[in-house]
Amino acid sequence: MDIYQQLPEELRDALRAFENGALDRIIARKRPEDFAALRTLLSAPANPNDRQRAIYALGRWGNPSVVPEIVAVLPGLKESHAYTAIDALGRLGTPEARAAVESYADHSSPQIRKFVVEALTRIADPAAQGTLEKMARADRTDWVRELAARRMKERLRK
Amino acid sequence: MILPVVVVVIDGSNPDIGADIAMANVIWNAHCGVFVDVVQTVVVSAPALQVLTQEDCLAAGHVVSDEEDDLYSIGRGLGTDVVAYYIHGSTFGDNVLGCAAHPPDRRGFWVVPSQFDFVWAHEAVHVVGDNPHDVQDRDNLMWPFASEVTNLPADLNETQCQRILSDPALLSIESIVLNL
Repeated sequence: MDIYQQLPEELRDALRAFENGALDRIIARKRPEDFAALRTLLSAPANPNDRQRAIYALGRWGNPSVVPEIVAVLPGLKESHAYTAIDALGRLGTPEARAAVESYADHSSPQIRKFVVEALTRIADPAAQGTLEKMARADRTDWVRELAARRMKERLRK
Repeated sequence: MILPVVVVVIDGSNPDIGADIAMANVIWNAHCGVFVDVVQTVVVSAPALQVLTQEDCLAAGHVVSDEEDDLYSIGRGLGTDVVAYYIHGSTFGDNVLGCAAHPPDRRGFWVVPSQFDFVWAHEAVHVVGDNPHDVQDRDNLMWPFASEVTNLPADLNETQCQRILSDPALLSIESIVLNL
């Protein structure tokens, strides 16, 4: 059966919209049926852009049980979708999420590494601080290094 | 009436500003008698802002992210209330083309370059006049699904125009001439 026929209508409309407000309202409401439907989009044959938006929503839902599923799809994502997945893992913040994020700390794309910096900044685990320090000291791109240094200081202030 | 705007392009985005502004003027002038006047275009090298992370794109209860705070600080102090930003993308997703949620003290919106030349005008209508979506009329600019807007160029209705025309960001042509 078409996966989209099983999605709540409001969620289906939110995924069709070219702005994010409708999806953000669904996230704020936190209905279990929406969470289940978003989770289904990770594993079922879905439009890749819809899967990206599901990852965005699941990252903000605050339920870390989806971390293994996001980690599993991450290597197969195109770069712009990986930004969203790394951001989501940073928000979910489990040790498995941190390890997955850190595995991208030396990625060839500075934009990917930027999202690693932002994700590690959110993760409370002290181990994240070490990777952030390393990026602030030695990342090969000036602006990523500067961003890491700035975020590290902000993290220490908190 | 004139809507003066500053346009900020984050280097790395590749927008067709002329097409977007032309479409905004076609729609806004035909229905509301308003012209968009780009008073300055600023191109900024800010790689950390090419792909934006926002906390949400909610009209009410919006939480401003650090990156959004940085973005909406650019292009201020140039004489306009509204600043429009072109970025490369966002963590919302590749099919999210714009967002009009903004810091409370800095009005503006961002768009990403796309095949839809009316998105700029759509986002501007959210900000100027604080207009919501129109979920009744598929011909309307504020229909929320870009690929489903019918009978282009899109329409604005009387209520939307009234809201736009009462926005303090608009200047009358007479006031501009007198200032000269």
